[in-house]
Amino acid sequence: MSNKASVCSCERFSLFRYLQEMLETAYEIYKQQSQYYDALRVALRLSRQDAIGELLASCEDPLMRKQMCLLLGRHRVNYEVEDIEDDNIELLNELIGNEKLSEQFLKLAQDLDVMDPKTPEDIYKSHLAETGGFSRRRDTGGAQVDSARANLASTFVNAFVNAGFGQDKLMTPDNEWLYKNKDHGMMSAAASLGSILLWNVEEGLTQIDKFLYSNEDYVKAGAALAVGILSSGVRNDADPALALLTEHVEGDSHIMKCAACTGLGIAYAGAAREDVMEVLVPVVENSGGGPSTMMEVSLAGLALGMIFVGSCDENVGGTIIQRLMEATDEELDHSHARFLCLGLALLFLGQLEKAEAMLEALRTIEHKIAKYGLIMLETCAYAGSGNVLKVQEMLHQCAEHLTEDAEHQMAAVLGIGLITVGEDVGAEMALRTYDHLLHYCELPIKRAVPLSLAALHISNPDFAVIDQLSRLSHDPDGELAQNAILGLGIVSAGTNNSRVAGLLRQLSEFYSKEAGHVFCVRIAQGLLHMGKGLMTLNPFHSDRMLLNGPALGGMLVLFHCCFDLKNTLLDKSHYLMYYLTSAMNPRMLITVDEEINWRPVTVRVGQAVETVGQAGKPKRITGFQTHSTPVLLSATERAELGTEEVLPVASVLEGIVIVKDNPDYEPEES
Amino acid sequence: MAPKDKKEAVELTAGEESKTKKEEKKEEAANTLSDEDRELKERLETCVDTLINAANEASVTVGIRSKALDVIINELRTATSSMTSVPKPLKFLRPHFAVLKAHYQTIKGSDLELIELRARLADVLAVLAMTMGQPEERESLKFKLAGGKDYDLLAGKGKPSKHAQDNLGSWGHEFVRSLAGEIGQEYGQRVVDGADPDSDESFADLLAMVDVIVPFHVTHNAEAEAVDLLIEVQRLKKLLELSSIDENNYQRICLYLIKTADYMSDPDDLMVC
Repeated sequence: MSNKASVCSCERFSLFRYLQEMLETAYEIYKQQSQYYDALRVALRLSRQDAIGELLASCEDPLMRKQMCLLLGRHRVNYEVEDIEDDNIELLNELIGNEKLSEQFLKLAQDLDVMDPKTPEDIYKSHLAETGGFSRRRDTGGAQVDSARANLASTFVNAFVNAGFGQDKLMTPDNEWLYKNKDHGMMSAAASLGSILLWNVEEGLTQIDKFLYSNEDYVKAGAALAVGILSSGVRNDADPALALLTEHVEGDSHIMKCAACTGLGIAYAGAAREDVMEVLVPVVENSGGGPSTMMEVSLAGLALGMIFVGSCDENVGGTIIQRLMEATDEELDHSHARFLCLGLALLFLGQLEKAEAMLEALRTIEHKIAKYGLIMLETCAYAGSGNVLKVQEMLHQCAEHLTEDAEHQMAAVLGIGLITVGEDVGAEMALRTYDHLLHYCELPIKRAVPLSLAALHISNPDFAVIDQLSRLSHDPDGELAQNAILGLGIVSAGTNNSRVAGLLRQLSEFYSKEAGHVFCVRIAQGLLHMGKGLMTLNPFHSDRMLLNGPALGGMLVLFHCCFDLKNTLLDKSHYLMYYLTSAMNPRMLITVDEEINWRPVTVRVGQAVETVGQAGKPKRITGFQTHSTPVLLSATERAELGTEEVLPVASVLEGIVIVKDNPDYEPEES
Repeated sequence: MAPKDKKEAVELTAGEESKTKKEEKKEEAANTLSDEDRELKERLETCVDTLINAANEASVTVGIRSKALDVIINELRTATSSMTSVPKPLKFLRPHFAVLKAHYQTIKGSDLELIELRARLADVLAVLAMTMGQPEERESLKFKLAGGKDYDLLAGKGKPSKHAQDNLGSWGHEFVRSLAGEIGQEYGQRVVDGADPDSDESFADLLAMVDVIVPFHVTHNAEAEAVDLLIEVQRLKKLLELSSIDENNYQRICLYLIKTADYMSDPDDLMVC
């Protein structure tokens, strides 16, 4: 009986439509109640860009309008406010464009007294390690031996730790550090300037400018990349990234092309801008010319995917799938061809059934990469949906015992994490599944488990997960251990978690003879102390309701790099790690007045409690502490105002929140 | 009908007032009925007897039978219960459920008073069926629908019954919940049987009830149940026409919609069953 019923409903109602109907009803109710900020949240959840203009226009409260623009900025939506009656259109656009993000972040850093730059050694703390004293004595005695890889690691650690602070001790004082690196290392070192000066476009450009005209191609490429990183998620009238990078994308130098494409991908992630597409599409269409061309094609495809993340854009999709179909086997064998597939998959991030047509097209490709691409596309499309059937499908993929050509299985394991992320019940079930995979499956699958585990807990150092990852980080299989180490970094990114810090220090000793492992440990340490603990990589925001496409995209780039560490991060394309900057966001709560000037108030911060469907007025947080803003919020925390003196304009206290005087407030008589 | 030995026991205790308190307590424990309960039980039994006119006396007019029904209805409606126990009247009427049902079938005729009696008896049966009917049969809903038809008939003849007003919520929250569940089942069944879910015609009777239940839930802090019912009958858009959504409950409704959207059952899931 129920079979028949489902056949009927299948024809009429797809899953997507059910979901859409419910959310749209919520959207309409919010609109009826003039709660435009909440309506906007739902609209963003539905990826309904068309509703933004309507909501902003119908919202009559100028404060709420500002708050909505702040949300758009946080969600990295590229929207231009015009045609509405507001005296502050410029300010609104500034807020959407995150133009003041750097200013606010630096003010937060000053308030929390963490402005002093940190060196990589401050992070490694090798003097705390058991053999630390010994190695240090040796260092001071003899000449310090700089290995290229150790320096490269320090570059990244420095870039992550001082991200957004505008000052450090390696790159900004002089050029010495830059020339301690070679070739691609130099490029990443130059690019790290972009990370250090993150969001601060004006000042950053003046510092980077000189390197753009360097004689050294790698420095020039790094500087180009830095320009892109710098403007990650920030809008600027001069549009420096596009203006400066276009010529390099169209130029002849291979390395410049790679850097410029990646730079554009980071700078305009989620912006879905046509003019950027026009620059990148010809690169993707390039054919012939061997592996270096394929590298450029892949990186341009990835950049396009990042820029049009979750947009289902037909032009971009068509271009990439066309290129994949026409590619020769040698081209598809290239280790970076995966990023072309990832670019395609990102286009449909979180769009559920809209990816169907593209899946069909991918099936026509005979190369083994098609299988990998298929799974990637499917899991990206269902990212964050918690769809159990898709999880089952992915598990089915893992049932086969393969020891080689098992890349698609790795994608499937990561896919399980990707599908269930942000949905607590599913995530918990996935944890159990991983145990089974670790017990019964072949190495390739096991290698993906720590990554999938990390994907579920980005910037959320859950005790059990850390424990599991720590166990895996001592696995005899090198790649599995490396992935687990990086997983530790991702799970604890931007939290300064002391437990993970201790584990990583131990690992750095344990693997002191293995360059690859040590590199991973260093990167993980850099991530752990990212932004000196003021930042998060978690793609969910606005009370864990909205999935930020560019942020998840940035994380996925790292995960897919990890599938083939030897050819990516441990080889020459380590600069792909800078895609993480599109996932970086301050994990702050700042309260401001009508003019967006700071207005400290008391807030309670505690563990978030799920209150859906509960009777009465249940408490929304538990185990709270009372602070005065600004405060930092971790992944599972929620804040509420601790005073009745003011009212928040936003219903969710995260990021920058405008507060106004409560007209009914009566001060307590003392 | 109550078992005979129990009746004897009642007579026994009633006759012997000289018993000591201790003995009385013992007696009570054996019967597990307090004086109050016993009295209620007897009253209900009398009412049932009168209602079905067991003795077939001519003096028992429709009006008197209607009065008896009034008493039963009043008892049912005013009964309060804790979360763990069944309301007393419901418990005492349990043995009479089959009798009442059988009697319901025999009421026929076009007399307006009789039709009203039938409609009101249907209401009572619907409540009783909530705990006594078979879950798959959806008896509660069937009686409610039949009663509704009779009320409509009365209204059509220019004599709308005063009892047709507020005929759902007054039976209590638990009844409305149970009825909502049956409406969902019935809706699904009709779709399986080939009704077009897009047209309102084949579900007019159900939807009329939905239109009453949803505002009832929303105004009684059971927003989640209102939403659930609307999802089951695929009429979520009705929420938007609701006047009872205000600044006090919109947050709860929207939060429920948003958080459950992800768990919306996939049509493919049902295929497996």
